[in-house]
Formats: sequence, structure tokens, C-alpha cells
Amino acid sequence: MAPEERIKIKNKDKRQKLFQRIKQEKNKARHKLRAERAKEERANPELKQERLANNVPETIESKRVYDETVGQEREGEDDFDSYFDGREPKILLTTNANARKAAYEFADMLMDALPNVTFVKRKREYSMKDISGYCTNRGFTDLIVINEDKKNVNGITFIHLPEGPTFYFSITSLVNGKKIQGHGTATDHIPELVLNNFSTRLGQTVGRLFQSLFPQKPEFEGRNVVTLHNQRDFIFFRRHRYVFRNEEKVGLQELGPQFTLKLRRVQKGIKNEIEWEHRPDMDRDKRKFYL
Amino acid sequence: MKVLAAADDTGSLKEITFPKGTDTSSQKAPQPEKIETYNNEGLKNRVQRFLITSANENEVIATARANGNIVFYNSENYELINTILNPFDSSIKDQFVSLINASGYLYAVSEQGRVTIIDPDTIFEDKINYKNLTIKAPISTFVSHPTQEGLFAFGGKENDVKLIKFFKDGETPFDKKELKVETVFQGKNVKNDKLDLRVPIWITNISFIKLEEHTESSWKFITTTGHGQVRKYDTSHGRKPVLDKKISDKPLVRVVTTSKEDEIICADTHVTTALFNVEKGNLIAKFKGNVGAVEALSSHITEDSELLVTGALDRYIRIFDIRSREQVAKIYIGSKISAVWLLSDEETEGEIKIRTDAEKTKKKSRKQIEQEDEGNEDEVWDELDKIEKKSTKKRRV
Repeated sequence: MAPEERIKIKNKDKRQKLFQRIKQEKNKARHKLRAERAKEERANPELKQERLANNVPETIESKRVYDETVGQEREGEDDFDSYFDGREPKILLTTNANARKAAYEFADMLMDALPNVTFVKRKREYSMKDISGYCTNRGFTDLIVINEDKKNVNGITFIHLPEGPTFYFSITSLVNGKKIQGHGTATDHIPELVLNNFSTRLGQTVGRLFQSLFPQKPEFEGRNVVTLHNQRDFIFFRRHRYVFRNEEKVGLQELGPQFTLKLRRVQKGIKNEIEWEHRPDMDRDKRKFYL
Repeated sequence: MKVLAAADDTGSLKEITFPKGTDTSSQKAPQPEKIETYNNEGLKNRVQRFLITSANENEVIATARANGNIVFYNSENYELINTILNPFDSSIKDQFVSLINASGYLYAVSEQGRVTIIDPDTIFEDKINYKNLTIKAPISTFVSHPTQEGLFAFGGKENDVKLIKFFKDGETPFDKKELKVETVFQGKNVKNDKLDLRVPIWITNISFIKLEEHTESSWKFITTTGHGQVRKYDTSHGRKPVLDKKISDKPLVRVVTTSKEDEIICADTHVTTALFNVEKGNLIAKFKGNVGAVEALSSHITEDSELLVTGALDRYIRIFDIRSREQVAKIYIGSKISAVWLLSDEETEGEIKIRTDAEKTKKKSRKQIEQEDEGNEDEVWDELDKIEKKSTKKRRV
């Protein structure tokens, strides 16, 4: 048999009208189907449950490549254990040498978000290894270095003291809290911390880094929450204030800033051996995640 | 196969039994049969170096732990035999760099230059016979000469390679009360670079080569440095290296020799583990797969197989075939690894069982197939007949 030939209408106007008519009919049919289904499901809620149970969309997350470290308990000790004794974190914040305005603005935002933090202007003559040595002598538990390039904040280094490890993240989508619509003004209270989806062994290490930056006893009267949400290896930083409207409803007010972190490198000690490093070929498989 | 690994996070020894082709990252690949953990002592007392050696004709595992103690375990059930309490000076940060067996005595050497000589035959007694002495620090490597007794080589950061003797031939280290360190060869730094700047020294590994050409006063060895160079020394040709090649930009921290004399396998502080040619100074092949820096490297060369075992900061043990550079096994052990050793490369019990089962089924299936084939042949001929008849009919019409 000859293949089915499409009938081509040569008049563009007529063709468009025909197309619109068919499209409209299809839409109507769909709306009708949905309305009927909604009616049935309202009468019989079990149907809706059944439909939702059967119709689970496939996502990149659900298709994730098997990783044996997901959900396994952490073995033994690590360098963060000294913090979990109950030691108060004490953070030194600085920038890259010769930083521009953007870096100082971001430093200001971080000073607001992190408790017990001291800012020091970076001097050219001291390397990060030198600074970590001085910080250890002065009882600091973490060193944070902001990296600014071409008037944009593009990276941040976390060094846990006294013996590492060192983390380097790239920063994107930085939004100042004041630019967020309906934002609130933060208070000085110690926030609560929400860490989402840090599941692999590497993810647990990153999670423990953020845990060790905040004191373990949050001041609940401040109703401040800092969220670090990991999704597809991007870590989203958000800060909110919550309010209990009534027994069921909770309201959120964003405090800012917002930014997105992506892990680039983990090093043992203070910038020593590489523990993990992002390579471009790691992005090739879209279903493989490392955190 | 069986591998012993020193796990950092728990400060323990792990014995892993697994079949060839194991890959814990893949659900389809074979999985390790057993991962057993022994002697947890925590991160602070982690095992930095271990050595399987014999003592009084028993096989024992000597471990050098991060607190400075040297602990001996039974190699079969990993039970504690004895401990040398020998803690490091707490005011200076120190760690073990080497634990070797040379002509029946154990030598544990720390970064700050403390050498502990142990008589392994006394470890079953209450008081272990051992003595401490110090050599010039800092040390990154300390090795013994494979054939000449009492000859050692060491080097480190700003501490150029030295060949030393603790005692004369025919003596033992416990003959005299005080051991005198006699330097028999002292390396000299290479010439200044093209900008007339001094080349920094950082010896990370030493291995003796061409042993048949060695005499009482001349030796040949190669060193690798923390600045990526490989150097070849011939002590009859002066104190400077006869060959100096830069093969990498990163510090070469772990090195093992292969069956070929001019080829070495180096692991750097980044993720590269590669096979290099020393004479030409070029890279021959990479062993791919590691995500973290390789902290533990050991090669196992027998007549029919050459295996490379790596343990890295990404908490995986990987085993490679040196000849084909292919990954033989990959095992997640949940802890950083500072030392590895291949206990045996024989097939595991599970592997043997699978193989014998497979052989049985293979034989059966072959017979069955043959029988089935005989039955089928008739049917095929019948079908052919039918087709021929049909075709003839068509022609007539």
C-alpha cells in the first residue's frame, strides 16, 4: 500500500483556521475529561489516590545511578568530631587579596547570616595556609574565604580548623536579601539549620561542614531558619522566618540572601591532597550525583 | 582475592575477600564476599603503616599507629600479641613514614627522624627488644638495601638522599649499646635552573635498581621528588644524579616499581596514578578511576600476573592489572585508606563454587543442545519438502 499522504491546504489562512479549530476541539475534550474525572474523584476520593499512585512521573532523581554510599551510616570519626563535643564555632571571614565591592557586600551578608563571625580585611602577604595557622592559634574553628572575580562573587572556601578539610564551592545566583520582595529584617538570634538531601558519604561530609558552622543550640524565639537544600548537586542557601498562623498553617518570610553553591573540590588538611574534585566529565551522565 | 587495608576513620584493619571483577558501584557486578574489621582504635590511633612479617616462624602483622606505638597482631585472627609503647613527642607533629623489614629486624621510621629498631623474635615475650635512635629530619622515605645488610637510604624535604650504615656486615643492631650512624653516600643537589635559582630538595621515594652491578662502595638507585622529578644516581659517578627528569607538575608521593627496571608507577597528590618511563621521562599509561588522591599503593608481581592495589581518599580500594591497565576490582570500604596489601590473588571459595557450577551446567546444556538438534533436523527437512511442493504448484499455475 502506498503511504498515507497528508492533505496539504495551500491557503495559509484556511490552514491556520483549521489548525485552530482542531486545537480548540482537543482542548475542550481535555477540559471535559478533567472536569468529569474531578467530579468522580470528589465523589470517590479513592480513585484519585489510585490514579496518583499509578501515575508517578519519572524524574532525574528517581532515575539516579546507583551509589552504594547512599543511606549508609558514617563509619568511625572525622575531623569535625571535635566540634560535636559542644565547642562553640568561631569563624574568621575574609576575602581574596585585592577584592572589590561585591566581595565586601557578600561578606556583609554572611556576617549577618552566620553567628560568631569576625571579618578581617585580606592582606596580600599572607597565604591561606598562613592565615589558618594564625586562626588556629587564636581559637577559631573555621576560616571562610570569599573569592571575587571581575566584580562578581564566584567562589567560597571553607577551611575547618585546625586540621582541615578544605572545601571549595562555586557560587551562582547570588541575590541580596533586600532585593527579595516581601523580605524581612533578620535578627541576631542563632538560627535553626535544615540540611536536605545530603545522602552520599561525600554529602555527609559536606553536611557536617555546614553543621559545624552553626552553634548546636538554636534560639527558637528568633524563629529563624537557615536551609541548605541539595538538589542534583546544587546546594541552595535560603533563610526564612516562620510564624505559626494557626494550628495548621505556617507562614514563611524570606530574609535572604539567596545563593547557590556547587561543590568543586574537597582537600585533606589545609589545601593538601585532593579528596574529591569536580571534573567536567562528571556532568556527562545527568543521572549521576555525588552529594 | 584477599586484601588487607588500614582504615583511617575507625583506626582499624580491614580484611576484604572478593572475587575478580568486583565492583561495589554496580549492582550487576559481583560484590565482595566479606569485609571484616579488626582492632578499632579510632582516628587518633589510626594505622599509618603495616607490614606482614615473620616472628619466631609465626606470621604476624606489625602496625605503626599514629600515636607512635607499634602494635603486633596475629595474622590469622588479628588478635593482639604485643605493643611497644613508644609515643611521639607531643610538642612536635610527627607521623610514621616507613615500616620495613631488613635482614630479620623491623625498622619503624618517623617523619621527625626517630628510628625504632625491633627484634621481631622477642615480640611474644613480655619485654620486646627494641632501641631508638635519631637521624636527620625531616624524613619522607626510609628504605633498606635489598641485598646488602645494614645499608639504608633516606631523604626528605630539604634533606637530600643519604646512604647510611648502622652497623657493619655480620653484626646485628643489638650487638652494641649505642649505634653509630655512618654516612657512606650523601647526594648533592642538581645544578641551578636556567634562572640560576637553587632547585628545592624534597626526596619522596628511593628504590635501588640494577642490584647485580652493586658493589661494596657503589650503588645505583632512583629517587622521586615532591616537585615531580625522577632522578637516577650512580654513586661511582659522583654525588649528583646522572639523570634528572621532570615527569609531573604535582608531588609524586607514592611510588612502586614494576617488573621492568626503567618503569615506575607514581601516584601524586591529585588523582593521577600513572606508569612512567624513567629513562625517557615520559608518561606511558594512566590507571584511571580514582576520584581522590591515592594514599596507599602496592604492586604484586608474580610470573603470571602483575597487580596494582590502590587505596585512596575517596574510600575505595581499586585493583588494576598493570599489563592491561584495566580495573580488576573496585571496593567501597567506608573509610579513608592509608595502607594496603594484597594477601592473596587466588580465587575465593565463592568464585570456585560459581565456576564449578557453571562448568557442570555447560556440559549438560551442550548434550541437551545436541539431542535437540537431532530431533529438529527431521522437522527442518519436512518443512523444506512443503516449501518445494508449494513452489512447484505455483509454477504450474
